[in-house]
Amino acid sequence: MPKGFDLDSLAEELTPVKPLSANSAMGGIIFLTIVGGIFIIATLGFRDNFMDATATDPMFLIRSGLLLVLGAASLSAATSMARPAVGISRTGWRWAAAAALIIPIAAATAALVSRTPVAERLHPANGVECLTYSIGVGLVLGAALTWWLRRGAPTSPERAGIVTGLAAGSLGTLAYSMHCPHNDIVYIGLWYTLATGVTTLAGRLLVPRLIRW
Amino acid sequence: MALAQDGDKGAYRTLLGECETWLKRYYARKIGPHVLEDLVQDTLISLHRKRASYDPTRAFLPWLAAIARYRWIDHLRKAYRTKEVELNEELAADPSDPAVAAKIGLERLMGLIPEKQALAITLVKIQGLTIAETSQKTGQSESLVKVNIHRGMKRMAAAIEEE
Repeated sequence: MPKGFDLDSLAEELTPVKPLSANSAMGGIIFLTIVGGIFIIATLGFRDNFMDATATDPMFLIRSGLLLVLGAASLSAATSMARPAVGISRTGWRWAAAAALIIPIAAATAALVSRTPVAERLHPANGVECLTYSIGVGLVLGAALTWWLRRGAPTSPERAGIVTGLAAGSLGTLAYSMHCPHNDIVYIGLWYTLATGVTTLAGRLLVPRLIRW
Repeated sequence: MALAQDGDKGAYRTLLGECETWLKRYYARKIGPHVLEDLVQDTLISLHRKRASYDPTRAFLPWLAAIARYRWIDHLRKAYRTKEVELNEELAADPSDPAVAAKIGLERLMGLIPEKQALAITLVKIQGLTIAETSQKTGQSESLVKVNIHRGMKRMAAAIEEE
């Protein structure tokens, strides 16, 4: 062994550590998502007539459900990446992401055959608000997840970055979706996809530098 | 390892010794012999720094192998260049547990990438040939050798935890 290194001194440096728990990381992120949702509701309010009609609106249920599943799948992949092991496969999130892609594809198709001008269906002012809040909450979640991954040993920093961004974006958008009054597929297909896409890209570009070891 | 996470220095020292032996075998012929010691040392330090990432409810070896593979690829990336290429026969001849090696060995990782990429990586990154020598030996053009190394490393890095 080269000078300055021997196993005895390494062993001497040993201090007890608490094994990382993926469950508590997931719990923490879920808690933060709920806090984000409460923040959105407190500042912007619930969707109109939430308890009467819109909570059971099919489009609201579909988008919230998809975001929830996508968020859960990518969150579970991201948190488990902190604890590596050869032989573990974490591909479940890809299927959830593929399922979620149905929304922008359906939206694009609907936009192509739309009788109303598409520009009128996009409500850019609301769209910008959607992006701001979804990405804002997503950033907090992404930062928390990145901090968690830094403590662990992710062997594929790029992929960990992607799932971190995806989890942060889908859960951030889920929190905003409690307020979002729109039910139009074209609106949701553009802005929600954009919000989640931006955080995923940011995760891919920024997170790997922070979590390499 | 679970004992080590609790702070048992004696158990940890024993474990480190065993890991050192295991890693030397694991990396034998998969890295230039002159940097083998460095790599083993770096891996043990990573093991130490990342010891909280071991899940005590799971098997130890797959965790160690994941860390070892990550450090190995990291070392291959640092362009080691050396003139003398001598295989450390003593280590290379060391019998390793075939069942374990088959599952988590580095051959497996090399096996995941196309042959030409694996060949370019072996010649340049492990045996220390120059790009030009490798090009001559394999018939791949110099730029193709570089591309093959780059692609192969990227692919292996992405597959560290897959079998």
